[in-house]
Amino acid sequence: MEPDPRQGYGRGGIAMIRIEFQRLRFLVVDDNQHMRRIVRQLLHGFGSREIYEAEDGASGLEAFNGHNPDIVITDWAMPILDGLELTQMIRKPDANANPYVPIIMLSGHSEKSRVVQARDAGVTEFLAKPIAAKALYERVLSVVLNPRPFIRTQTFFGPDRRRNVNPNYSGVERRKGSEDAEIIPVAPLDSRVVHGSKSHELGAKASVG
Amino acid sequence: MKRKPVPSEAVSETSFPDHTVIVPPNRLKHAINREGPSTAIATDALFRAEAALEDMKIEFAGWMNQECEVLESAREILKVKGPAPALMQKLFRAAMDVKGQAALFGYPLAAQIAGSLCLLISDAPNPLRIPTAIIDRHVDSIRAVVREGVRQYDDRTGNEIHLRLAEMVKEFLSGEIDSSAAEIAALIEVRAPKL
Repeated sequence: MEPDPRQGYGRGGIAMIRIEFQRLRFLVVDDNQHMRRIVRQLLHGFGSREIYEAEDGASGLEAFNGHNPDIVITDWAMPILDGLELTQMIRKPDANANPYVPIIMLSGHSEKSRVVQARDAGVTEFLAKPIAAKALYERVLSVVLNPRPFIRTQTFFGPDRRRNVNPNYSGVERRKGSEDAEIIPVAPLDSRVVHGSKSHELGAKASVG
Repeated sequence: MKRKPVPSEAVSETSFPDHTVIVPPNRLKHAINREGPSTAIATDALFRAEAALEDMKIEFAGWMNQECEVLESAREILKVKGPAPALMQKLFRAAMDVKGQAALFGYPLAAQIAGSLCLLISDAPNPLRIPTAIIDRHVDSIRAVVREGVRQYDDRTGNEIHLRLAEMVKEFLSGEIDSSAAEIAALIEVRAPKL
């Protein structure tokens, strides 16, 4: 009898890579109480037991400095300090303990221009609402298993905005570097994912770094 | 190109003429449990989360009503006190909440209509000039969709209303934005009803 994939093992009982969510501390920042409840429920389902919440960007920044979370999940449109401003505050080098913290922006905005704007503010991953368990799971997997290097320029500090280095790219190169520039390798997310069911396809699309 | 020495758990920096690449220590690796040589990723946590979300569905109808009340309240305050940036922002955030959650709560058409209202507010050069009537039509349509329990994307009446609202937004923005009609049309995605 095949092992039940819901127990976390694939065909033939092959042991897997498992994210120990109970070891991760999350900060959820959203001015909507229902959304905070939904994200909390999903994170609990994943196995997380340490989840802090804030209902606007200002208290989110306070919670970030006070609780030192491993991952921040933030909305965009919020009063006082919105998600972009919160991200920019967190990303200020030397301004706080961990400017490299993964920030997942969860937003009702879905237009490409908005995604680019979020990325340019220093967001690590962008997730458009309505939220789905699988999409959130993929984003968390991505930041845990495939952390990206950071880039600092005169006008930007944040995760490398390029997911792939494409040798065939022939467009504008904003980052000139030098001809001898070295590609800094970061361990890629394993593309060989054993799916618990056919409906769950993880990994390759979201996480190549 | 300069490379600084890399002590364990230190930040590694590599400088280039116009940028620096920084590889911080992976603070999250303690949460990775490699149970064996396989590189497959366990998904049982995902199953549990999906089940947990399924358990919450019983509350979604009530939550949708609450989101409508917040949206209507923001609209009323705007009407009573007159257009003001802070009040328009409040209405925008309420509409964004409906846009972002209504589909999950089972009202995808309400999400589409809220999206149209968000587009109107975010793309108008001066949102304070938006006619109250257009805002009212959007808010009232969202409430009607929820009240009537319209849960399908392809509901004929609902989509006719959505199309009409999109035309109103397009017409208003055309008069306010110095853009071609094609650019404005590209801004507005309208789901064609299945008649």
